[in-house]
Amino acid sequence: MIGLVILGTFLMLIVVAYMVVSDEFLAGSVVYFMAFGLGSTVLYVIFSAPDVALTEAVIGAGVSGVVFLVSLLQTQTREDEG
Amino acid sequence: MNLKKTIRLKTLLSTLMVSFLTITLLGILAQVSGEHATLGNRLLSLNHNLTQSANAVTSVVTYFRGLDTLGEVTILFLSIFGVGIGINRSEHLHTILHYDNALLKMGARVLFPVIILFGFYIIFHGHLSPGGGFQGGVVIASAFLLMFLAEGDAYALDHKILTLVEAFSGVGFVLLGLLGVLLGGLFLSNPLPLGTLGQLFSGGVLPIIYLFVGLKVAAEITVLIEYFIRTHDARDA
Amino acid sequence: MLEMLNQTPFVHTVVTVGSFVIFGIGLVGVLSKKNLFKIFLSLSLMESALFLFFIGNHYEVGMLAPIAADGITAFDGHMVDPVPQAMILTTIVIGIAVLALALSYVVRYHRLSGHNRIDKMDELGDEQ
Repeated sequence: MIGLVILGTFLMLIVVAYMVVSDEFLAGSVVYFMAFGLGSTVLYVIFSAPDVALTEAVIGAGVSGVVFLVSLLQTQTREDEG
Repeated sequence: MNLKKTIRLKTLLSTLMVSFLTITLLGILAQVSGEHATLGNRLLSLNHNLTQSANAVTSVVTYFRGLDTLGEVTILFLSIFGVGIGINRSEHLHTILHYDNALLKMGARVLFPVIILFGFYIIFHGHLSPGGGFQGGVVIASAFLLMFLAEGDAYALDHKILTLVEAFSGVGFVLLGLLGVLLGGLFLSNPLPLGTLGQLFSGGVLPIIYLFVGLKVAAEITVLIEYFIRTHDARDA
Repeated sequence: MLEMLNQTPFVHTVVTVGSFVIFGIGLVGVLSKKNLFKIFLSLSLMESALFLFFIGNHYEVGMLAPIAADGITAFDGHMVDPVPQAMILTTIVIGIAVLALALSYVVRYHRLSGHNRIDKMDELGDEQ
């Protein structure tokens, strides 16, 4: 049961990682990155690491995404051309 | 998604390199087996007597490996120092991400002390439950982010207080280490009374170290978010 | 068959292969993308994959978190190793600090030159 859950979550994370790299709309890439952080949090809870899960939830899916989004807004960047 | 893509040489080479690394690692993995006594098992057996803290990760971060945490706090300080070189305080700063909504303003004013209380709860209970200084400090900084989003230009941060909090937290960490030298003989030893496992006032110097780390991380992440949200906008001229 | 899926070597294999595929996706992103934001996003993705690999390989099926709560009072062999978790904790915070420093440079470079692509950076002149 645990093995299946871990396998399924890793497959989802691989798909989300591919969407991070290949999406051309940069704000969409950042949102996929925050979803990756959320999936990482779930995996850390399964791996019996609650401190690391809390840290990844607050920093990886929180402050990191916000800093990316606001710096995209500061430079008025929309698309990744090419 | 564009399905018709030309495969470039660089992409192909990096894919080959990564698959080679994966196969190598699988080969290494197939030979490592068995259970062996690690440093972590030894520290777990020492944890109950040396530090009466219920969270073994906290006692590893602040006591058994306290010097690494001091180094990490230094790296954090240096990065925020590097970001802070580009801050201009003399001109009028414009908040670039701001929602002019009355419901958000009222809600943020109610929620701001609650989020800060929750952040301090996470910091203070670092040795009893999952949590600690880093997590609680970033939660406190997110409360300030909420105020930036709700009130915009009208919200003024007192930079003198932020600088004082950050500086004295860093100094306090080193002073606790020197206190350990005075009373215990080693840097960052645990000279204060230990108490019993499960109480709030237990663990000796552990909660105090995490309090200093939490305050320092909160002040630094707040300054970081304020730099990104409020830098002088090129459109304003 | 289903019993095999719950053993520890299967979990370690899934974690190794999965985190290295994510690391590889991030590496391809760093090497082949031209926008600076995309490069830093992929770099951060590589770091996250490494943290997953580290924590996942120290997990044995059936072990508990290293916290004495809910009636567990003995720090014995049924707990996961706390040292890797402590190291990853500080590394995540360092990762975001360095990322913030890098993004502040990207924002200031955009203000000076107007673009944020690495193939339009020609301040040092063309190579002969």
